[in-house]
Order: sequence, then structure tokens, then C-alpha cells
Amino acid sequence: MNTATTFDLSALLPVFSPATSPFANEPLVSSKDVSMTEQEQSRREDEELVARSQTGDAAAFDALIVKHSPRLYGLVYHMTSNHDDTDDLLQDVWAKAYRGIGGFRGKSQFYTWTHTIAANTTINFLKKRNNRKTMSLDDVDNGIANDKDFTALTASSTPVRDTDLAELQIKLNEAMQKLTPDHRAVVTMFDIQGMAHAEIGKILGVSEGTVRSRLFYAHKQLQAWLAEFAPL
Amino acid sequence: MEDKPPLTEQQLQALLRLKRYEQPAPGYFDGLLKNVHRRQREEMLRRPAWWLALERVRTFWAPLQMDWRYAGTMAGVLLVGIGAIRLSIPTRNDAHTLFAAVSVRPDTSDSDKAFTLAAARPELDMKKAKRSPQSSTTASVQGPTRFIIDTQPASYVPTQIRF
Repeated sequence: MNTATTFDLSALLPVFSPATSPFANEPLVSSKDVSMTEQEQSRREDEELVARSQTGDAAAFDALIVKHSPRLYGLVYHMTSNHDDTDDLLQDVWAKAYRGIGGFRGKSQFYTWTHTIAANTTINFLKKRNNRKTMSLDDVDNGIANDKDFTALTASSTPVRDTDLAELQIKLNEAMQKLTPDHRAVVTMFDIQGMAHAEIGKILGVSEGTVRSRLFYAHKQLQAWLAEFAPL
Repeated sequence: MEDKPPLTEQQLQALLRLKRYEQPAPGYFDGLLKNVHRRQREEMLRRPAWWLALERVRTFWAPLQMDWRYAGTMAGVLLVGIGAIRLSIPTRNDAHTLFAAVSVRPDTSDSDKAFTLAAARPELDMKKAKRSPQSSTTASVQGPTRFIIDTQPASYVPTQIRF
């Protein structure tokens, strides 16, 4: 006997749509996941470019320079507070990286490796430079006007409001230059570049505890030197 | 003048974050790439010729991506194979082709002694020599034929005759 009735299994299943989901208002992929994916993608891209550079592909090494220079520039510049020195040091860093790319085995990320070269080169330079502390500062980007930290600091009854932006920049850089090169490196990477303690430890070849200790000491000093910007 | 309290941790971090807005002039990074290239060329010119030659050789072989462990293993296998083949082939005994083992050893035990031809007499050890049926025709004798009477050349016996 051939029955014509058909059984629809889907009828028994609860209807699910994104609109009825209790998480409907939440993004399907969190910003943290996106960030992780981007980091992973960036790491893979670096690995590929490094492998090509190791076989003598100059264009691949150029791509690495273009990609990583802005962050390396930030690291060196905030440690030296001098554009010209930063330019020289950055060329040194890339020359060293070019010479050493053949021996780079990928035990750490390329990003970490180049930051280690940059941090060590700059710390050695600062220790040799010693007391010669001339500053040649970069211009402050116009985007600062929209920064929430800046708007909060320039709100009414704060000393920053009355301070000229150029003056604030000079004061900040002068305070940074009072720190020792090792402390400056930690403050630059943590407070300005937003790196994690563990990552800074890897770059500087010290423990996470040492990074935290240096950061604590450097913050204490900076808080005292920049006390004039404390809210009234 | 009253003493101001120090900045809090959050206020300090907010101030330091502002430093991110200090940026080099637009186009700086294009110039940096050119400067890095110039520096690479300068360094290349300063390198000795042997270094450049070595680098060229390395670059030539680089595409092979040779795995040294694999190469070492294969070389070991090859050596073992050659050894096995050599052991499996029977070696020829050269003794049967010799007519006699002849050696000439001058007596050098006492360096003060004057050299005499008698001391350097040939020793013919017939026991060691094995004769094969073909040996009489195939054995080659090195040097001129020497005639030996009672193991000592007759001409070398000093004469006792006095006149």
C-alpha cells in the first residue's frame, strides 16, 4: 500500500531566527574575536612575507617594512622624543633586521622580533647619548580634538584646558625624558602603544613581574612630575 | 602656593595616551623605505667580494630547500650499501700468482757497521711461495736475472791466496 502522506520533520523543530534569539541584540562575533582573527591573519601574512624574504624576495621585505614601520616609529620616537634620531635609528633597525632575516626561525612573531631589535637599539643609543637631550617633536595630529581622553581633560576646571597643546606636548615629553631608558621603554609600550605586560616582557627579555615593577616605579615618578595637570 | 595632589593612575594614563597623536609628517614612511634601500645598497658596496660570492652561491642553492637530515640519512644508506657490495664480492688471493716472495733488507740494526753487499743479500723464502700451474708463464720477474750460488755471490768471498 502506497500512502501519499509525507512527514515533514522540520515541523517538529522549533523555529529559530536571529530575531527571536535572546542574543539578537548582541553581535554574532564579538570585537575580541574579530581582533583575534585579525591578529592571526596578520601573523600568517608576516610568516609568508618572512619566508619569501628569506629566499631573497626584496619586495616581500619591503612589504614588511611598510607594514611594521609605523608602530616601530612610535616605539623609538616616544623613547627618544627626537624625530631625526628616530629616523636614523629606524634605518638601523631595518638594516639589522635585513641582515638577520635569514637566521629568523620564527620562534617568536616577526612583530616581537623587530620590536626587540628596535627597543635594544634605542636603549643602547640613549645610554650612549646620556645627557644630550635635545627634542625635535613631531606635529600633533588633528585627530586629538576628537579624542575622548582629550575632551575630558580639556573640560571645564581642568588645568589642561588652560594649557596650550604644544606646551602640554613639551611637558609630557620632558617628563618622559626624565625616566631611565628601561622605564621609558616600558611606559611607551604599555601606556602609549597599549601592549600587554607579557608581550613587553618578551620584547625586553625580562619577566612579567619586572615589567610590572618598572611600570609601577615609572608611573609614580610621572605622577609627581605631571602633578600640575591634576584636576582642581 | 598650595601643593597639588599627584595625578591618579587613570589621569596619567589618559595623558600619556595623548602622545599617540604625535605623528611624523605625511609621506615620511615612503621616504623611510627609500632611505632603507639606499642604506642596503651602501652596505652591499662595503661588503668584501668573497662575501658577495658566497651570498650568490647561497641564493643559487636556496630554491632547493635541502633538508640536511634527509641528505645525511641518504649518504649513510649509500655508504652502507657500498660496504655491503664490497663484502659480498670474493677477494682474489694474490699469493698464488707470485713465484716467490723476495725481499732485500739491508741490515740497519747497527748503524756503525759499514754497509756490505753481503748484509743486503736477498732472502728467498720458498716455503711462503705457492706455485700455481700458470705461475711459470704469468709471473713477471722484476729487474735483471740474478744468479745465486749457495746464497752468496762467489765473487764476494774474500780470497785467501797469498803470493
